[in-house]
Amino acid sequence: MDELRDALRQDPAVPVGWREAARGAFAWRTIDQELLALTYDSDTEAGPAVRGASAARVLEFTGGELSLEVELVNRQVMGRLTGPGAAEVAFESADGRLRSTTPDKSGFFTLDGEDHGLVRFSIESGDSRYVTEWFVL
Amino acid sequence: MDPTPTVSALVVAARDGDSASWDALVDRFLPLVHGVISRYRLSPADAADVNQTVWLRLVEHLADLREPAALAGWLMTTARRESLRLLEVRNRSLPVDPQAATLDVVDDEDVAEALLRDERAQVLHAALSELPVERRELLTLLSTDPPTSYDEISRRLGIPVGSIGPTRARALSQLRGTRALRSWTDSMGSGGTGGHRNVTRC
Repeated sequence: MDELRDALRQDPAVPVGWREAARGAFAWRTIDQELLALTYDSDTEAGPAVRGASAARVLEFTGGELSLEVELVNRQVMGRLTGPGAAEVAFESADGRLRSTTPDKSGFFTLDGEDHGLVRFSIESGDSRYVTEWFVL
Repeated sequence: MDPTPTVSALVVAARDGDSASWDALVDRFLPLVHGVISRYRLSPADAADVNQTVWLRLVEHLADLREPAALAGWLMTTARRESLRLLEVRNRSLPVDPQAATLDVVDDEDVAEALLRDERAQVLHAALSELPVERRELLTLLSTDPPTSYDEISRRLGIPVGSIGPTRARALSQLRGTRALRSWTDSMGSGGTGGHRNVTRC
């Protein structure tokens, strides 16, 4: 019981906006979309940091037949999509901004990005829609 | 008073699109998620981003949560993992200013103690969130400092003074039996020296 008291007393207030953000996440509920998982992130790979400060962050997402590899550098996204054939790629931020483009025949594309915040990619190909996991820049 | 829906019921309802159930999950588990994230030295903006990431992840995984009743553990793991990920991203991409000398030198023992204390507090929060709302409120009221009087508790919760003692005992025993506390004490029991220090204070 004493410990319970300690635990509850230590509980500092949840910062303003956190509850709204958490509740608002529900609006992003996806029903018919396939999720691409983050399978590689150069910034969190173990091992010595051999890159210079200006090097790009490389991320890879995969799911099913599809994979998306992106390089983020100076608010630019350079990516390559493999798998779906003709598609449209969009870069979305959790506050609702969206930029989209159509990759070339080999799947390469370039987009203007964000420099910080919570983002994900979405891909539309025919009737199929895919989204990547959200990640923080 | 309505019977409190279980975590599993809330997850299932949210999965089917019921936003009130989602809000109830948020209200119940937000302090837990906040507790985990605030253990890491993230900037306020980064901490807020991790919080949002955790809930967006949950939205994505509502359909495939294997064990909805173990949501507290899932949330704690996700919050911890995403906090660490962002710390690494920041450490890799931010140039370090050697003049700034912000490297806090903290005694390892203190850190270990603080982490254990934090973790124990979070496990208790997780355990509390598994209890029905009336029992949770009762334990919360009894845990205030200074303690809330039985008369006040009786008035606030609408239960007779005479039933507070027995209800408290039942609530505490239920708390000990929660998934959160059981899995934690199990892990401490097999965890070697760290466990000892805890047991003596319980």
